[in-house]
Amino acid sequence: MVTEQAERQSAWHVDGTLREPLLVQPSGHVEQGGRSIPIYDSGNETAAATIVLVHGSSGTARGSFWAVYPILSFTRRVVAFDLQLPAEDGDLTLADAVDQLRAVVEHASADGPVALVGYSFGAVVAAAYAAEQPGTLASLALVAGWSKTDRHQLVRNDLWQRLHDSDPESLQRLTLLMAYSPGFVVGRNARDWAELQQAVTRPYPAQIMRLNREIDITSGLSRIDVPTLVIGCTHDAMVPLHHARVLFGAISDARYLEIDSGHAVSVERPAQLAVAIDDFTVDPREHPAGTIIPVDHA
Amino acid sequence: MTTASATRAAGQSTTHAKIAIIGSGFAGLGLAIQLRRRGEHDFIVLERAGDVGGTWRDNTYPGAACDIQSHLYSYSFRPNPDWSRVYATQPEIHAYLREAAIDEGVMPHITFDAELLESTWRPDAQHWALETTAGSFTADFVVTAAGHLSDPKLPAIEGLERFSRPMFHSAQWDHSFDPAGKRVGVIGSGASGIQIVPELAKTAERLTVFQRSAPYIIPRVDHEYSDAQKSMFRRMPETAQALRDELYWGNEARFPQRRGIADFIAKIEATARDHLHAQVPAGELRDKLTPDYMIGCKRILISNDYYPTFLRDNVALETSGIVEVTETGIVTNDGEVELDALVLCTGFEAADLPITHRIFDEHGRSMAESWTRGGAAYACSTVAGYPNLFIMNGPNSGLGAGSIIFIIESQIRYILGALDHMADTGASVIEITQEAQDAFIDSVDARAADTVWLNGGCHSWYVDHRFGRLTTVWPDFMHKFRREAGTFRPDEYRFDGEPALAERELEQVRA
Repeated sequence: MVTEQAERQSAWHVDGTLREPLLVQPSGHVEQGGRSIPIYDSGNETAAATIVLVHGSSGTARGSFWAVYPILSFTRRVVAFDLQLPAEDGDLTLADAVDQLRAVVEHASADGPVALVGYSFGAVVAAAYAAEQPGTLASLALVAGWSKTDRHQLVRNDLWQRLHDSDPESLQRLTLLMAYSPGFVVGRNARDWAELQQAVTRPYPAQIMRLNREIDITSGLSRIDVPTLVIGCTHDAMVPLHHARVLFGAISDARYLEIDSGHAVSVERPAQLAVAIDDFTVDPREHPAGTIIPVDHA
Repeated sequence: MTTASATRAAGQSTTHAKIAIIGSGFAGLGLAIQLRRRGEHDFIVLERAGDVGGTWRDNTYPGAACDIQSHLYSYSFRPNPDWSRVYATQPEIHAYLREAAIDEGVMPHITFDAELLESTWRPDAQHWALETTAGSFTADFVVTAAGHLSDPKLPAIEGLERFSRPMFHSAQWDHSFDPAGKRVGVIGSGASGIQIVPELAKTAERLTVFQRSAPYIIPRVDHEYSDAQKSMFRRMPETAQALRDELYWGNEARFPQRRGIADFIAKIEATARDHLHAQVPAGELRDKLTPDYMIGCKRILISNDYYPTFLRDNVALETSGIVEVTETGIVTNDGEVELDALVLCTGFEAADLPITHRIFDEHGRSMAESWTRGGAAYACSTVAGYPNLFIMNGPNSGLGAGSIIFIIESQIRYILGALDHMADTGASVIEITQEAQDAFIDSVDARAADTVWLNGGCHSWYVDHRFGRLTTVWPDFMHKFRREAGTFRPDEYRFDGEPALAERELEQVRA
């Protein structure tokens, strides 16, 4: 099967030099509720649905999709954005996040329904949006997401709050333990380990971490009637696997894929995540609802 | 007995088999093993040498080792819990293949010392006629499994044939040669060269490495597996499978480097640069070892002992360019280097595959001739005009970042799927249309256009420089190869001259 590709986006400028890293400079802004939401729009419209990416608790599109966005944008139009947060002591609400996503989807959906992809907290926002406005979507992919915050998450969130306020260095260690699978931590060489440690020096935005304590979108999940892919991460310590499995159970038109990684799947398995999203969004009904997609072993 | 080789009448009638496989390296053996496991006995393997193993039989040079991790660079259907280390060396890989061939009952199917001279499609008989150095054969289907890295490529250097002292290619190592006390020259600094150089330097009186362009080299993250780990892999095969999957996706995550994604390029570039800087002090030597093209354009090499070799007193790096070879040495733009021996680490004929000059259509046109713009095969497997023939490791089937064994296993699936389809439908002859082949190649070319292989400013064996096309490697994820070229779909083929049956009709046939 050869996928029809109208036009491919090159990594090179016409003069032969390489393009700059993506998800650093916004390509534009979407106005919503008196704010400007920075967006990253790859352009490159093709026959396949435009992909809209909703980032996780790290607070930026680059944090969640540094690998997925460029890989997908070679063959598709991909739109990502950075959620705008209130001042640090202000409260972000799920409704506010959904409103911002709605504005971005409106921007992206000139050519029809979009393929919505959410990661972690972004999966919560995406699912909440999909429950409200499924008609705007061609498909929905929920990566390492959850529907109702439980005791296990609250224990971790409590610890996060305490360390955030009192002991930033220990907070970094906690984040390393929670974000990555044990095998991944153990398997890094000195250079990559130093890089991982560097990557957690900036704490997640406290506004999102507070909102994470109160998530409950359970009642809306039955209204999601677009083809959905639920991706769970086998060794996820932030959003343990049982959350993905409940999402798979709750959404009628869902199929399920498990990736052998920790929560930071975009770091541990960037290629696997990208091709899983690519395969699904090109043909969301390739696997019927209820399918546990078998891992195609190497 | 129904094995094809057993039905051969002594030296007289031509042996016929349903399937003839050319080559017994990783590809040919893998297919043969799968045929045996399915209870298929009517096949022969024609091997030009006297042993199985292909590349891993031939490349016995000192230091020969794989640069893909062994738990991934091995058959998924024949895992080996006993790999001694992350990157196994040549003897261990060759032993793995020999044991596989014996255990799986493939050996009786192999005719050794049978080099294919020509293979011609006979439309009336609907079979291939094969002439080999071990006699004539006919087969309903031919699978070429001759490999990319099989036929040594000699450098086009003035006077090479004049050199009167020991001279050999890395893949034809002369084990009677002892470098101790000798002045040895090495031409080439690719994957073989960087493994050989540290070994020769240990005993040679003087070693001169002639480098055309500096390779990028990153650390070899290698270690031995402990007895406990090996036992764990044996007792809990799922742990070996998890490791294999991890290695697979780790390699897949290298492909975006080839696709020019800035963040991926920056990371690998820094890794290579820091490795060079950590091992070689600033100065002329480091400058000479610094590549002048974009990383990934040529194969990225892994080594911990190549760079330090140049810090030895008895090793020199010559980069001024070779003018000519004389009877006793090499003349460069900087002067003459006298040599007692010359080792050619100059790679293989990977783009213009020699086997394709020995395969002829019904009109006597070779496959190589039919490729007016370089190697081209539908699903990297079948070629218009050459019915009932499948290529393994042919056009766009190599990899710049990954395990060729994954590609080989994808192609095995594809071939078995085609054979199953023909058995189901009773068809005798399968042929791809030129239109389908062209459309597939357009899709490959479009992807290749945006890769570092065609944009990175280097001269590599991945590209067929006669046509400026990327014909050797697959310009996408391995995962995409399996989706597009690892599952047989009959739609684009013609069977016995007719278009493929629609799925509905096929079900009636099956019923």
